[in-house]
Amino acid sequence: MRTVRRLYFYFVAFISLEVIIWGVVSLARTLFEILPGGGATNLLASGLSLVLVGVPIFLLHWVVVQRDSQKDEEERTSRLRGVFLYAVRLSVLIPVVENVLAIISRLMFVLLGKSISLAYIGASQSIWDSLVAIAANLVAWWYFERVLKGDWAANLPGSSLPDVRRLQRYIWVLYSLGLAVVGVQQMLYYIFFTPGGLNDMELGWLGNGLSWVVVGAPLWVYTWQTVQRSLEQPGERLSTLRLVVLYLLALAGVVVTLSAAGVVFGYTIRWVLGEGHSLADFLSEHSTALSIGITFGAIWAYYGRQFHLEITFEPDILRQAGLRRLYGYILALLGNGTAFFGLWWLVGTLVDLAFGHLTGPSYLRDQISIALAALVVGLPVWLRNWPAMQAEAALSSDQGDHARRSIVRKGYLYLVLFLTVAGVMVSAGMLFFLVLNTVLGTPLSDFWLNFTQRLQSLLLVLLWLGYHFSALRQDGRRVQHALTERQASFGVVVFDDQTGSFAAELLPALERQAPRLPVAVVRMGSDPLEASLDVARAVVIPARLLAAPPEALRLWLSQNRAQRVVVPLPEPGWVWLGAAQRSPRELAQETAQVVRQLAEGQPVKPPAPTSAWVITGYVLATLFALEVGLVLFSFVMSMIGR
Amino acid sequence: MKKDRFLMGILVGIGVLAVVAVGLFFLRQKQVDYVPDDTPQGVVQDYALALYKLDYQRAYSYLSEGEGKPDLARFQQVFITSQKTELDRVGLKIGEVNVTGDNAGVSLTLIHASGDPFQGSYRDIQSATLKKQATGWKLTNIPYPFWDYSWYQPAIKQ
Repeated sequence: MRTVRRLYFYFVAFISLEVIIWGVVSLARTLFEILPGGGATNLLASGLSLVLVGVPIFLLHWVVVQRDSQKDEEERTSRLRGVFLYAVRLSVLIPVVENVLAIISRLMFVLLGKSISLAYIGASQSIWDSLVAIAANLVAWWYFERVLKGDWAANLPGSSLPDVRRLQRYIWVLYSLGLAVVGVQQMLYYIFFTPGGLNDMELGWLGNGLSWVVVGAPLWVYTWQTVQRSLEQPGERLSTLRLVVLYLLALAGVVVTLSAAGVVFGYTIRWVLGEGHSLADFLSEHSTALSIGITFGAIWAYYGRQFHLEITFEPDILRQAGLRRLYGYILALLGNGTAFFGLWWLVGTLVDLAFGHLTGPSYLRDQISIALAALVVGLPVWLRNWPAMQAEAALSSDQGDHARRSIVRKGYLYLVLFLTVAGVMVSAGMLFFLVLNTVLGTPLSDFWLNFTQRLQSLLLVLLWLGYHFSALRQDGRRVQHALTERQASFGVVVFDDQTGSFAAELLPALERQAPRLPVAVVRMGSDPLEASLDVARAVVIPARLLAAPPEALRLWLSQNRAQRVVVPLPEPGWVWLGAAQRSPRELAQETAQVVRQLAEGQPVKPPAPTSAWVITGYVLATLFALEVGLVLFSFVMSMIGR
Repeated sequence: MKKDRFLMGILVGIGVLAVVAVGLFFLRQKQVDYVPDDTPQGVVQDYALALYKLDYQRAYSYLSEGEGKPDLARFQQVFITSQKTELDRVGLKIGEVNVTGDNAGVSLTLIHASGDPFQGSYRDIQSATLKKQATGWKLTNIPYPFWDYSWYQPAIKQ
């Protein structure tokens, strides 16, 4: 309830603050604007109305928020307050940066003697507009910076400020890197582009490039260095956010660079195969791919290195390997797909050539260049990453065990299997369709050409399917062998009361989960326990036995160091906190799962209760990740399509 | 930052890039002048150059006589208000000429600058058409944004 109230107050305070700032900007702009047709009056009226509405609403909510935070420590340290303060910081400083960029763009275009309309930012506003916006936002920043400093100085335990500050810093890194990237790409585009028209419109790229670099590069260096210096503070070096940001930057860098490289290679091969071009014309026509490839190549090189460096700070060797594995499999998948495409295209072209189907040398040149470009890009990426992943999965150590069972590897193999099976269905279907049509009396033209094309597609897909299926089977054999050995050496003792009802439920569940596990059932009486039980690596004890343990059990437990698994069976008069009510059968299944995890050396993960909010959160996160992936994919495709 | 040599290298690279870009700016600067307007391509070049240099009077003089020809004020209005921004974003390369009697076609490559980063530019091959009149070659059509489609339209009779 308090969280909802807090959310309401901070959200309304944020919105009304923005209304005030932009109202003030409109008001101040009327001092400089001389607009025809009542334009200045409109600007004045809009500014006044925004301020008149925004100020009372903001004051009403901000005063309440500040009063609550002074009275209640929990309010002052709440995550929402931290998010609000840093969100305000971002929302006022980013417009400052944008307006500085607008001013610099304007000056740059004046120096170049070109129209400001070519600027990406600031084309439709004057220098005074920008200065007014900077001033208004800086005033707001100055006030909220004092509030933030006050909260930091209070140094209250449980404050969320460090976490939120970290997020804010990485947002600045990404934003400023984006500015610098655009600037560098624009300059490279200008350098590669050969002018020749009557109008030197290419100066637009130079003007924008220089302005964005002048603003973006120093800001990126400053924000990145701030992040790097903060790594000495606890929790910064190994934060998940840092890892995710480095991952995304390294992956985005490699994906875009390789896509651009593929485009450039394709055109280079066409050039080598005789397409008429001078070097200058070649660079000019493919300046987009070249400029984007070089820029993102630098990002890949720098942040890829940072990412690999970062992994080495992870103390857990297995987790280190897991982090590298995800990166490696993503690249292996991209390389695999690209290499397959290249091979399929090349074989298809050779079939067309064999049947005399290609119409002219330029068409042949185009087809070969596409195929070779895909192979030149895809094969090295695949061969650099896949054999390393295979070698890791072949290890007989713990690392190999984790590699074989990792969800990333399984996901990779099953995804490839799925795609190849779908490919088999499509190619086989098309082949059958062709043959049956011919047999039934309505043959398609160029029967043997089409037959050979469809057959080669089918054979290629079957080859890929066969190879990855055998990799999966090999994994399964190795996993089974390793697990069987582990289970056989993991003795388990199940203690039960005289009725033995729980053991009767548990034994079949253990048999299903871990058939090689040696299990001994002991029905507690007054007799001392046999010495042979001392070798047990895990003991399963119903909670009711622990609540009133027989003397023999108490003595045995005090001397034995086996892993204890306590089962909260329902017991009249007893309430087990922290455990959801479950039937003995469900508890037996869960116990068997936990024992198997212990036997296999996996971390014990009892099933967590899932709430609707958690599931909703997972769904939203997946949709967002899909959207980001689709945007990246469409950007890459648009570049290839050009 | 001194410890991060890679970062230093990137910054030096950006600096070198900026110097090269500015150097190319000075090297590529050339004065584009009017050419003799007794040929179709000369007329097209001088017309486009006059628009770029905001010499609307001169540009107007290259329009052909005919029904629906805009007056100077209407002609100027198009380029002052809406199409000025578009003109700034388009480069023009003049290609081959094809003359048939009193009519001529001039191949043009329009290079359009995109309004967004990463989009670069795209080329569009079109043509301008001219007619030989008493005072020389005159334009009857040239692609947007050098032309407005409302010109030379027959008036709607009521």
